[in-house]
Amino acid sequence: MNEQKQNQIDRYVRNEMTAEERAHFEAELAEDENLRMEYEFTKQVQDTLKNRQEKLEMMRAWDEEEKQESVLETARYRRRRRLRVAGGFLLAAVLIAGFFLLLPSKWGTVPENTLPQLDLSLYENYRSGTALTKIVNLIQQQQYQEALQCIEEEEKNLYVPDTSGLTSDEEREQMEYEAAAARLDAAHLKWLKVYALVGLNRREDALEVLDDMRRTLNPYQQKADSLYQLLK
Amino acid sequence: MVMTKGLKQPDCSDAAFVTGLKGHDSAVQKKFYLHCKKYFSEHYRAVFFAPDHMREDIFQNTYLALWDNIERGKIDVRNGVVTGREDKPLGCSLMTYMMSIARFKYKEVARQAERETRFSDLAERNSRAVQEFVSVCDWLHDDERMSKLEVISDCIAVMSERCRQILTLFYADELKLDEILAVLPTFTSKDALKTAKNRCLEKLRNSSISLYELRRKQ
Repeated sequence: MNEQKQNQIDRYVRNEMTAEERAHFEAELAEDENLRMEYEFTKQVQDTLKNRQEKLEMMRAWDEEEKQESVLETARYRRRRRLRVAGGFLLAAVLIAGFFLLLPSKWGTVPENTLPQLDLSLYENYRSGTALTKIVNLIQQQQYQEALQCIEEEEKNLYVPDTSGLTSDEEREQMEYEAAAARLDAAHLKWLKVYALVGLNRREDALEVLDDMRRTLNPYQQKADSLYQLLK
Repeated sequence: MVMTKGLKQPDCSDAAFVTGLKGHDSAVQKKFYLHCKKYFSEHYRAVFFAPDHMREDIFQNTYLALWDNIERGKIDVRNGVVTGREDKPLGCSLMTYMMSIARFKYKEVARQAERETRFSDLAERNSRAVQEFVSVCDWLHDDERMSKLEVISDCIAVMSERCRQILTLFYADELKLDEILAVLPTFTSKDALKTAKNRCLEKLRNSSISLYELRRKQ
């Protein structure tokens, strides 16, 4: 194929000719069969390539759309999964919170068997007679509020005599004995108060009493210290 | 034939696909493309073995050939039935038909990998391809122009990537020689580029004539 002729054909199919050139070329096409065949072939190549190119671009666009849809779908799936996981955690949190809110108050308090068993024989010499036994029984029956009220009543009534100013040795000795007994009774009452407070889940109040008992000389000092550490 | 496997929208038949493609329905075009791509990726290993980098080329050429065949009427729909040669019912599903094209295209792509070092002339390189092509794709158009377009299309599919790129930039994209030089910097001048373009066109012409004559004799 003559390169000059091919250049003319190329300019014609690419619309690069002026109107005058086009008219002249078309006249040549009508007369020259070989030129016409070469032109037709070039035009067919151009049509085929354009068609192919157009289809390839569409295919690339579909691939890109599919890829983006796939990315979006993955993101949506991950978001749904995150929401499901978060929902699961939230539900679990609600259930756990509800569990602790609705259950009886003894849950989460001082565990059972933390406090030593009350020994009734310790209180047999209590001067009020059955008052202390009553308090112990109330505690053993878990009637902590009533026990506390009794303890507080007894504490109000407790009298520790003042031995200063006494001149007689005999009177002084008697008063000192009375004071010691009263202090022992006070210790008994405080110790039982600890039981009542723990039973009422008043942990902080119990710790306060125990802290006071472990710092002062009394029969329960050591026990109070041990229990204080345990409750703390 | 109702397509039941691998489709996202199960109620789309072969006939509906062909009708949609012929009618340039963009939604059907996209749906069909994605369906074919998925089917191809799931089944090509049963038809031929090819490394992944060749698979894309094979599918691309396969789908273009299938699409062209449908647009040109080689595959059509008559009374709701997909037809092939001489308007007779297609003897297989569209996907099976596509894979038969893929088998041939695979051989072309495989041959492409060795041909540029072993053969210098495109017509000679395609001689084997032409023999096989005729045996596989034996439906010819009565329309001479359509037949020639098909032949040119098939030859473009198997020509060297370099020639295809030059001819595409020049005739399809209608870029100026200066602009093509910017895309293909291996060429040192416009004259060298023009010479290469004309050489590619000449090779295409020769191979197309050979293939066309061969098909006419069959």
